[in-house]
Parts: sequence; C-alpha cells; structure tokens
Amino acid sequence: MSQAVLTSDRRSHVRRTIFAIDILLLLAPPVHWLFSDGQSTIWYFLVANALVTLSLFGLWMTRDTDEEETR
Amino acid sequence: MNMLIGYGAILLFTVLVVVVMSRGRRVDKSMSEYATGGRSFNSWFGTMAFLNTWLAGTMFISFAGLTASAGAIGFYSLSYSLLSVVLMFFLGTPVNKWGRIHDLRTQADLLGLRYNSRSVRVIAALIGVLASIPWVVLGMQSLGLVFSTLSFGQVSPYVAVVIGVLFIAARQIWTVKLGTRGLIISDMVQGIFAYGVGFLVILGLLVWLITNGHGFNEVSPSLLQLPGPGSAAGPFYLFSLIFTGMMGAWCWPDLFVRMFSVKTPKTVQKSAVQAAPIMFLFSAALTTVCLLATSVPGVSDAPDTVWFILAGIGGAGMVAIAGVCVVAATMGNVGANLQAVGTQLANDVIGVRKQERIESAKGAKIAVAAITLISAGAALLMANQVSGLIVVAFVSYQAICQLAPTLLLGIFWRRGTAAAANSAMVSGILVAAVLELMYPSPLSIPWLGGLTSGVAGLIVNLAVYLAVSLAKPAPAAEQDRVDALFEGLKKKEPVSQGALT
Repeated sequence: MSQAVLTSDRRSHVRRTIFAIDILLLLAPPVHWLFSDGQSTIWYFLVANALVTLSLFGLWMTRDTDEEETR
Repeated sequence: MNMLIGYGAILLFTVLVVVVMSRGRRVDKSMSEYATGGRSFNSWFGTMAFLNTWLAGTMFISFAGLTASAGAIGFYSLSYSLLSVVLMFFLGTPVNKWGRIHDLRTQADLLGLRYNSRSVRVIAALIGVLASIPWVVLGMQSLGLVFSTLSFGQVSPYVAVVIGVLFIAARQIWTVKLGTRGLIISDMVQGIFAYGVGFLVILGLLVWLITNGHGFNEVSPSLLQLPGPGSAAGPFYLFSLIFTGMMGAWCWPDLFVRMFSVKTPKTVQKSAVQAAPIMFLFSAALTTVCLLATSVPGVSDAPDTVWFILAGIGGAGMVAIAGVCVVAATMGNVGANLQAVGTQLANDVIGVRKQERIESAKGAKIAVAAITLISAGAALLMANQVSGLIVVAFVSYQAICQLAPTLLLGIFWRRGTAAAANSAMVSGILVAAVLELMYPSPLSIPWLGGLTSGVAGLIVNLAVYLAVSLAKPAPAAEQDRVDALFEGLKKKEPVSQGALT
C-alpha cells in the first residue's frame, strides 16, 4: 500500500478500519466463545494476536506523513 | 556455592545497569527535564522504555502462575497488551505534540491543559498515585521469590522478601538522582536482558518441554477452556479482563509519560510498531511455555514458581539467569512507577495546591524518595502475604481504568468538559469500589454476565461523561480554546495556547 496513492482522508479511513478489526479480533465476546474449548483456544490467541501485531505495520504504512516534523 | 552464583549474578547485573546509567548521566535541573528526559530519545529507546515499563517482573511470576494454574485464559494479558500498543500508535501524535508545545510533564498535566481545570488534574493525579502504589509494592515483593530461589534453600521466604525490598529500594537511589533520563537508559539494558535473554531461555524451555513429553496434547482439557455462556465466571468475563487491561494501559502515569520522552509523534508511532513484534514473541512464548509446563510435576502445587521450576532443568546457572530476567523486568517497572508517581505528586498535587508551576526538579526528587520509602515500608509490613499478589493487580486495574473516558475522550473528542470529566471519574470510581466490595472474588459480577467491577464502573463513567458533556456544553470561550488545541495538532509548528492550570 503506497502512501502516495492514498489521500489523508483515505489513510485515516484505513487506520480506523484496522483499529476496528483489531478490536473485533481480540475483544468481541462471540469470537471468544467460538474458540472457547480445546486446543483452538491456544491457536485463537496466537493467530489473533499475530494478526494484530501485523496490523501495526499496516498502521505505520498509512500514517500521516504530513504530521512528521523535525525538532 | 549455588547461592553465590545466584546472588552474584544479580549483583553483577545491577552493577552493569548502574554503570551504564551513570555513564549517560546528565544533570536535569529543571522539572521538565527530570520528568521527560529532555524529550530526546529515539524510537528504540522508546520501544524498550515502553516494554520495560509495561512488562513487569511479575510477568514471570504472577502472570506465569495464572497460566500455570488457570490455563489458556492466561493469554488474555497478551491480547490487552497488544491492543494497548495499537492505542499507543493513535495517541502518539496528540500526546507527544501537546507535551512538547505546552511543556507537559505528566499525564495529569495533560488533562489539566485539555480541560483547563485544576480539579480534573488533581483527581486524575490522585487516582494514578493510589492505583500505582500497590503495583510498586507488588513489584518489590515479587523479588522475594527471586532471592528465595537464588539462595537455593539458604534463606527463608520471609527474609528473601526483606532482601528483595531492600535491594529494589536501594536501586532507586539512581532513579531519584537521574530521573527519567536515567530510567530510559537503564530500560535499554534491563529490557535487552529481560526480554532478549529471557526470550532465548523461553525458547530453550519450549524445545525441552515439547521433546520431553510435555506437548500440547498433554495439557489438561480443563485448562483449555475459556469462560463462555453458561460458565461460572460469566460470558463477558474474558471480555472484561481484556477491555479493562486495554482501557487501563495508558491510564498508568508511568507508561503515559513515556510518550513525552521521545523526540516526535512519529517516534512514538515507530516505537509502537517496533514494540508489537517483541511483545508478541516474548509474551506468547512465555505463556505457551507456562501452559505446557502444567504437565510438569510440581508446577500445579506452586504455580507462581513455574518459571524457576522450569529453569531448574538447566541447573544453578540457568536459575540465576532466570532470576536476573525477573530482576531486570522488575527494576524497570518499579523505577518507572516510583518516578512517575513522585513527579505527579510534586507537579500536579503540591504544585496545584501551591498555585505555582514547579520548575525545579528538587521537589520531584524528594517526592520520589518519599514514595520509595513508603512503598518499601508497606512491602516489608506485608512481607508475609506474598501469595495471591495477582489479585492486587486486578483490583488496582479496576481503579486506574476509571481514568480512561476522561483521558481518551479528552484526547480524541473536543466536546468533553471539565464538569463531565470530574463527575465521570468520581462516579466510575464509586461504582467500581462498591461492586468490588460486594464481589471481591473472583471479580466477575454474576448478574452482569461476568463483567468486572471496573467495566461496570466504566459503563457508568462513560455514560456520565457523555451525558454531562452534551447536556452542559463548555462556554464558547472554553470551546474556542479547546478547538485551538486540536487545530494546533494539524499544524507543523503550532502556536502554544499556554498551560492554563
């Protein structure tokens, strides 16, 4: 995803979407209930948290570069 | 001989930390420099400062013990930790930018600026202080297990707690003297050991467990269940634990000021991106190891000692390294807490009471020293009560997360008012406290589907914040001031609106 092809509004929209997905993955009770028994509990936590970790790189790629300043 | 190896390793590591801190020493005479380290650190220092503040030594003890006794639910700390990192990314710009423009030193300072209110600033500061001190005591006491284990039976558990408390209190001499700058430099050394060397130890243990008949299939099915509909804890219990952790994370004064200490908003965001994979790899591996260790003999009898039981596989040397990992992580967390709490007391309680902006670091140093002595005294008085420390962590979380609506909505929403913030924080704390007294254990409230007292308090807290903000908006002049604060975030070099409180 290139920053150059996304407007500031679009980047902001992508960031909010990533945030919403992260919240859904780790916080939504129905997701917890879906993986509440057996070894799937371990894999749920590992995979969901791995995805949220990767989402940080997505957020970084869509950050507002016009906010960057130097001291 | 074994005790010499154990205690010697801690001594050597402590000397290393102190030498590195002292080499980077620069006298911070002003309060701002003392509290923020001159806002001068790069993203890697930001990453390690965040990790060393967040991942306390008790990760190896109480949280490891929770997984070893309760099973897969122990992964919840990884989930809320990573959500906190996501929040850090979004908070980076407003917090760091406002901090630099308005010379903010503490979390309460920022709230005072945002709401233009002394009462908001003082209430937030007091909640932060009162919720943080139990964690300091917890951190100090958790070293008791380290010194007990590393003595290899030569020192009684009670004496070990006393040694641990005295040791960590003595370490704070450098925290008091060097402030945030010294803390962040030491975080790098401590973090590399706790999460770098610690991760290598964890990987070794993981391989040993899997190749020695302690694989995933050996974990008891009862430890692989999460509370869902029909469970005793309630369907919303896990949600509550993760939500409270996520909401509470940036309410901790020690963690929050880390965003003031780095150079720019971009540095905060880069720190978050770098922290996420380290956090994931370390915490996921540690929790998995503790889960697999449930089939190791002896672990179920003393789950809080699982880290040392496993390290014992490698002999005295490995136990010593495991002990240093706990000490390294504890040093970072306790030091950060004491420094932030002391600074907040001086800057936002005493300063507001005297109606002056404190410019000298001397008051903060005295406050940090006083809080250290009080915490050490409390830890020594309660030296016999080292079990069930995780409960203290849970309870303080219910309190600290009541800052979240005021803090997060204040940063991201322009319409929140001081009256809303005050009434929300007070009502949230009251609701959480009453429910905590009514349902002290296991924290979940049955008629609320397993919600914890903290989340119930947060719901009331949020409702009050929104209702008061919308029913009684800020006067036009105040709204203009807040609008200017937010507009300032969009400019490359915004004009200061001045810290009005």
